[in-house]
Amino acid sequence: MSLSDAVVQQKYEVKQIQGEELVRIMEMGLTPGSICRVIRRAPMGYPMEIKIRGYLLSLRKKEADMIEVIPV
Amino acid sequence: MSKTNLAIQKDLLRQPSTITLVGNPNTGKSTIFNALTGLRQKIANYPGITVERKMGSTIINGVLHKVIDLPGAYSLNHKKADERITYETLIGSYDYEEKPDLLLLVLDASNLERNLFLASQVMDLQIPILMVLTMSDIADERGIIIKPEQLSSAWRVPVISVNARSKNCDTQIKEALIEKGVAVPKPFQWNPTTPLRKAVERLDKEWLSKHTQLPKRARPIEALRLIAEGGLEDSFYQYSEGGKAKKLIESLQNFLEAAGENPTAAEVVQRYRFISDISEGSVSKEHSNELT
Ligand SMILES: Nc1nc2c(ncn2[C@@H]2O[C@H](COP(=O)(O)OP(=O)(O)O)[C@@H](O)[C@H]2O)c(=O)[nH]1
Ligand SMILES: [Mg+2]
Repeated sequence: MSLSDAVVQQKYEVKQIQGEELVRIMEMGLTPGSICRVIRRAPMGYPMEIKIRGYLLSLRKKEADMIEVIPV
Repeated sequence: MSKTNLAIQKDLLRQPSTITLVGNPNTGKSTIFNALTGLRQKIANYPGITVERKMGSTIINGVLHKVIDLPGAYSLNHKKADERITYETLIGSYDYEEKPDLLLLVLDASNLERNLFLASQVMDLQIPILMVLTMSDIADERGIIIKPEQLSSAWRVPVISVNARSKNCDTQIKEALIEKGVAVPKPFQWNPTTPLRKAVERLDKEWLSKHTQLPKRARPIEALRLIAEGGLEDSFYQYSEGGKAKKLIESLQNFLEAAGENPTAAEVVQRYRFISDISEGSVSKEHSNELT
């Protein structure tokens, strides 16, 4: 599934990233195998705030769409 | 990995030097810059862009040193104008900025893993470093316990922990520069796999060293960027024989794939793997419910 479909409070493992700016996204710490948690989502879904490697990161829809995850 | 492996230098600051601040955005670089330079500072823009250029001076043990506050960056791979200035200044190829003699590598202690990504790249450049952990007060509040000694022996650079907003921050940093000194870390401490190392060596030897003006110490970082992104065209250097490079890069990417590695992801994944591993020894948390 895509991180765009993730629900608040649930933890996910990053499986892979695809798309143009994938290096930039991985540099933020979202590497395959890393665990993130969705902290909150704006009323329309975006931006969504996740916790990854101990810090809060805000993602736009375009970025979340690129990230494939599975719930853990 | 014991302390004795640190290549400590203490006599660097006997002569006037250029001390350069580098780190992620919002880590306290400018706060430290202000503390060190006080009123001895000059702020202008870099030519052609609206990025602030901050330089000043500070006295350590009676010697006057230049201090430069570089634009914050998350990675040395990026192509945004301000990040280019940071990268080019670090490798000593930016005409408008002084080459650093030593770096204050500034990291937010409350967000160490992410900050260590850029730091691990900077540590590949073979410049003398003192690692400065800021936001120690915030880390304390959040129950994050950092062990500077562990961090120091993992990365082989001296480390101090400060609250950059505290009154004696400048004294703490100056004392650390004198007493702990600085050290040049060995490149590739993050243990890249053999195939990735080989790919970097080949790109360096067969192309970067022959067809570019890049200083030797900057070539591995540039090679990693080219292997990951293939981006010769959006590189900020005028590469001659780009066609030859393109072929070589493609063959190295194929070589990595055949070895079971994703060429685009390899550097980032391997740096973060090392960072997570060492963080287990050097960072812990009081309130485990806050994790991830
Ligand atoms: N609590 C605390 N705040 C700090 C510390 N260092 C910097 N700050 C604050 O963090 C913000 C960013 O600092 P700044 O020096 O501008 O970061 P820069 O982007 O790296 O230059 C400012 O509001 C500073 O006052 C610190 O050690 N502790
Ligand atoms: Mg600043």
